[in-house]
Amino acid sequence: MKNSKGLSLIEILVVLVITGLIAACVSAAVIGGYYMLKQAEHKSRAMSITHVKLQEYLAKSFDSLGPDDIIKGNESNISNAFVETQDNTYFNWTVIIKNDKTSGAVNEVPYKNVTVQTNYTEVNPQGKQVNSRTIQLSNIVPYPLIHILSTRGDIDDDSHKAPRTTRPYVSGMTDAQYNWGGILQTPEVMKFDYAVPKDLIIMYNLAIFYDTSHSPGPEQTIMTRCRLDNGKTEGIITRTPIRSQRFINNILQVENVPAGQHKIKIEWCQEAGNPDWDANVAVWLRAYDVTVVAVEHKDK
Amino acid sequence: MHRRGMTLIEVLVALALAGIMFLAIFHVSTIAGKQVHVYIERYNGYSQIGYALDDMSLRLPSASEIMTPFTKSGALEIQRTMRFKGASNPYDVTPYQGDTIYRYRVREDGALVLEDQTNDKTEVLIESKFRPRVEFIRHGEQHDAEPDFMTVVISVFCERSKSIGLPEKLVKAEGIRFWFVDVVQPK
Repeated sequence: MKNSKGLSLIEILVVLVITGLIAACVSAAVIGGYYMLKQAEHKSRAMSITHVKLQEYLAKSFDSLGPDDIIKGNESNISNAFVETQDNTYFNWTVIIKNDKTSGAVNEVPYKNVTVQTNYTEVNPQGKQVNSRTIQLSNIVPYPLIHILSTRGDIDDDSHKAPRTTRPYVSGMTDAQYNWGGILQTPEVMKFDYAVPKDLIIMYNLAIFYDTSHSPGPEQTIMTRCRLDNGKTEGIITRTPIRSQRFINNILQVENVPAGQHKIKIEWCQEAGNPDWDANVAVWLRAYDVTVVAVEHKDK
Repeated sequence: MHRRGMTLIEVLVALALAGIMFLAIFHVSTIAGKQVHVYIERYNGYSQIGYALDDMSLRLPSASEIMTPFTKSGALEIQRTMRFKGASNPYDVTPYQGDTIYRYRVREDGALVLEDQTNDKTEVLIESKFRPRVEFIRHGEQHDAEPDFMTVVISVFCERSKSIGLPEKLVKAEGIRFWFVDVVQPK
């Protein structure tokens, strides 16, 4: 019968090597899993930071986002909770804002491109900083569909006097006969500059005062109108009795105003009236209020 | 036939080797077990934070009234609860017409809850075992933040994470923009 003996040194060494290899594989899986989890958590954290900053900048108005702005910060700018949970990986965010516009066939509509990048550097099992990572999210802040402009003023003195027409009002009077003058001493009451064509709704209110020592006739009127730039009268001309109504208002619509600079003029004049009326009646502006609602024009 | 057993030295060496092997396997399996437990807990923690933030992102934007508004627009301000009036069905919102009073807060037992104070219902968003902490943050003029915007940061504790070298606290944030009201209101 064969002589049975114990394991030889070689056999023991082979067993040890195999066991070592298996242990190394298991350890590598454990350590690898640990670092993969850390990487996933870092990515999730970077995504959270990036998303918060993107939301913050998307909440801002179009005009408050400057062109070519670059804003930088780190996670401590969001909450101390991020600082308290820092390991040896640090997160820095950058917000980049750029002007852009659509290439539409009709309107080139501007928008702001908001890009948020969060950078961090992964640390390897030896504690060395290795791969630099970036999470990036982008979105746009569109040009507003609606703009609202308003201006108002109170005038405490008699500095804004209505010009008088050259003749009593009759239907079909010419501009020269009206003798229009601006309600203010400036050429216009309002300027605007939109990047796209707009449809406008213009509303204005005027409060007037007359010289009570010269009583106006019952049909003696003040007329007002609105003009865009130096063009034709938009909407209607208001004709309001001075004596009974010292508050004038008008609402008008102007369609498809081209992009670019424009000015709104509110003009007025006092009817010269019947020869029987007191020619010395003076009318002054006491307060004005002009509001413009501008909606993006869409070709029908 | 001559058969001989193992010598004492051989038995001792074999025992030592087996012991080392068992210790190594035990150690690795213990670490792996701990890791799996911690990973599951962390996943659970992140899921519950995500659930709470999703709920807030869904209900808060359509709020029609903020009952715990931020009062200072110029400085960093942090609140721990948020009470507001919102829609009972957040998928069917009528602007400015909330019909339900809600409150997000960390309850006395430590859970982060959503209280429906109109219908006297409470939903647990994050379990108390995670010791959640919620911050409703208004950065104010420091960031030139809009008055209708705030940041919500939720952190939870994941115990035993430190035993495998991971931070115990998990944190996530979300930016929330209100559609109808400002979160900063004058006193």
